[in-house]
Order: sequence, then structure tokens, then C-alpha cells
Amino acid sequence: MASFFGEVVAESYRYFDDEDEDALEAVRGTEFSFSHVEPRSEEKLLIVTEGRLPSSYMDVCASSLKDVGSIIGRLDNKEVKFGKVLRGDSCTVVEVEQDLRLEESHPLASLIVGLVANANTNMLCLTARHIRDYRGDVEEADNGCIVRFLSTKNFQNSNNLKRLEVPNILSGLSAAILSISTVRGIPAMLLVNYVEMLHCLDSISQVGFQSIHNLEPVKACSAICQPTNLSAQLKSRRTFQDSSNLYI
Amino acid sequence: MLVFEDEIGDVAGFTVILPAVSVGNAGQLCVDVLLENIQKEKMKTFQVLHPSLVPVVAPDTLLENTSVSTALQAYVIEDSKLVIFQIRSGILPGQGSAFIADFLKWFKESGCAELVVVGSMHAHERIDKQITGTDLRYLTSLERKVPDDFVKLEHREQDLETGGEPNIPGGGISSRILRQCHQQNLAATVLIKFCSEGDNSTDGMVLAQYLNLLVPVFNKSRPKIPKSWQHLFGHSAPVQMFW
Repeated sequence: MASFFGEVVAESYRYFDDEDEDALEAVRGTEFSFSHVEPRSEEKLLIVTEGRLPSSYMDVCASSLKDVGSIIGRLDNKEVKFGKVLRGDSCTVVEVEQDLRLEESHPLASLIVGLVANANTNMLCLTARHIRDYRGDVEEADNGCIVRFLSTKNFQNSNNLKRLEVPNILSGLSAAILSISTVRGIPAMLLVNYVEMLHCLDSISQVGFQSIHNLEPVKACSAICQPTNLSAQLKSRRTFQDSSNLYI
Repeated sequence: MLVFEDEIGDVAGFTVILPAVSVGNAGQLCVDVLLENIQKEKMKTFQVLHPSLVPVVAPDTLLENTSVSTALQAYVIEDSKLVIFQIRSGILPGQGSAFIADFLKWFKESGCAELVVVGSMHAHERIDKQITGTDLRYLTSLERKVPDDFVKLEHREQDLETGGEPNIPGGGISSRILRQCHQQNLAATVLIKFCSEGDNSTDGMVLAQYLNLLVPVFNKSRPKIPKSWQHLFGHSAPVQMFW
């Protein structure tokens, strides 16, 4: 974009130019690490939430889990908290709420996948995207909820979930985790909830995540409980108070 | 380093085809055409991981099963002694050199015979003599026999001043990988099409047919359009608006 009248700007292109000067200047070499996290690897179920919406849902479902540490990003001697780690007897939840740059997805995903004990540990990534990013037909059976999945061949799927259709494509932290899991043979699933309002932490936006409770690895985890009344539980947590919004 | 999903097997003596992420994504579209026109039963697919690529996942467009496509895939066709790579995203800023270094390391260690890079170049950067005639050019790192009607990419004034290889504006990693292959004495050919960004499906088809003249990949004179392109560029413009 031009910053002043008459400035000559270079054309932007669809393809990624790895030598683009503007893109090079904006690169951040963030280093990620865990802070105060117990050194135990997860053997059963590792859930990763990408973004505020799935993190909020996981806070409701996994309220009994203990906060055992944080994910810290270091850049230019400054530390920023990128997420938190919650632990229970049979699962670990990593919540990442900060927006990530393209070059940060893979290093952070590598750090998180490092929590996996062995190739029997199931990984579940939850993410949300805006409905405008979805390419496909919305059927009546969807009940206003567009939830799709992608998984590795060795993940124990539920038949109730619909697979993400061509030509949809996903990037970001969840995509990086699924890519690493695919190559390393770790059973993993990515569940994406397409919503109309990404930043509204209400029950309408989060109801799509309830599909996870049909998955065998989640059913086997007693610490993850399906909320009986999602809207009431969200209301009690007062998570949707937004000072910039008069109505919510 | 390149991390493969499974053991890729012995690919010594194979020809490797790699698309350059370049203007109009013509190289990647070319590889889509190649993959669509090779019999699926003859291909083995491998997901490949490299930290220099933008991580993406999507449903597999070629194999209608539960496979997941990642940012980089390798397709091995043993009958034709080919390894075809497809890049489904792009190379992260500043990481082109790391990708090239790791890729060429794998190429050398595997004992592959030749690397063919397909890509494109900005049409608006053409010199006068490139404006007419064919839009297709080639460059090689070492001496290689090419069909008679292949045209070598001409040097531009800026290239003559620096005394180096012809520059390929908008060509992504094409010129850098060629330079590295030249320095390391590896056989590489770069095929380029001049194009501008837009509906580049035709550019992909033409580039695939050009590549097929150099390295026979498919037997059809008119290659099939990939099914994955059905939502890519939208419908053609309605004729009624010109009435």
C-alpha cells in the first residue's frame, strides 16, 4: 500500500516471492520455548487449540485440568506469552491464542509435537475459520454448523464427521502440526469450525466443536467433558465481555 | 532437511521434476497437469516436510481417499524413472537458500540423474526480441541435448554487465537453483514460460507440453485438465457482456 500520495509501489503478486524485500523486513525470528512446564511427555491425547474460539471451548470442557506452564516466544530480548499448557491424567491441552506469522507456525508446531511421547499418542487440533473461507455447498444436514476434518490415516475417526472437501486448504499452526504428524506417523486430526463471527466467544460459534466428543480418543479421556449447557457455562465464565462492543 | 513420510526407495538415475514458485504459479500448474495425466496406479505418493515451506494441509486432489496433502509432495513413477515434486504453498521469505541447499543435498545423496525445474518469468520483463515468437525458454547448468526448436533464454543488458547467468525476474528459485547446480556440477535444466498473473491455466498446460518434449511424461497430445482446477480461476467471462 502507498504510504503517501505519489509513492511508486511494487505490484503485489499471488505467488510467494521468498526474496521480496518487504516480506524479508517483516520476518520475525521468534524462538519458542516452554516455561515452567513439567518435563513429562503425553502418552494418550494431546489437544492443541489454535485461536481464541477453540481455546474458549476447551476452557469449558477441560476445566479440571491444571495449568502447568506457558509457551513463551522470545524476540529481540522480549518475551511474549503465546499460549498455555494444561495437564490432566490422560491428556494435555495446549492453547495458543496469539496470532502467528507464517514463519512462526512450523517452529511452534515442532515444539508442541515434542510433547508427544510416542507414535501411539493421539493428536487433536482445533481451529476456526471464517465462513467466507469455506469453498463448498452447505447442506441442510449441517444445521448451520460447518465442521470439517482432516486426519492422518492412522487416526481413529468418527463416521459422523465430514471430511474437508477439495478445494479447501488450511494453513497456520494446526496445518503445521498435522503436516509434522503425517510425516512422523503420529495419529492426528485437525477439526475446523467455520463460523460467521470469529471473535465472538458465544455458544453459537462454539457449538461446532462439540463434535470432538464423538471421537474415540476424546471419549477415552475422562478429563474432557461435553458441556451440558454450553451457553450457560460460557455466561458464567463471562468470556464474551467486549469493551468495544455495546451489545455483548 | 527433507523429511519423507516413508522410504522413497532407490531413485538413482531418476529424473527429478521440481516446480519453481513463480509468477502466475505456472510451474505448479504445470506439475498439476503432469500428475493428472499419469496413471495413478503407476505413482507412489509421499508427503515431504521441510521447514522453509509455508505449512498447508488439504484433502488430496489426486487420490480420492482419506489422504492428506501437505505443502510438499513427491510422486515416484518407477516405470518412467521420474520423481515429480509438487509444492502446494510457497517458500517462506529468506528461506529459499536453505530449501535449495537441502533439496540439492537430497538430490546428490539419492544419485538422481537430472533435475528439471519448471517455472515462469514476468512477461513485462521481456526484452524486445522476446516479445514475438515463442514464450518458452530453457537454460541448462551443463551441456545437454534439447529439441531443435527449444530457444535458450537470452541475456539481458543487466546480466551482461554482471557477467552472470541470465536473471529470471519473477522466477522464484529458478535462477538460484540453476546457479547452485552449475557450481556443484549437477545436471539441471530450467524451463520457463513468460507470463503475467491472472488465469494461468493455459500457461500450465503449455508448459507441461513443453516439458513433455524434453522429458516424456505422458502420452497424450492433448493432456486432460486437472480436476482440482474446477474451482481455481472461476468461470470464464460471460459472452453477453460484449454484445
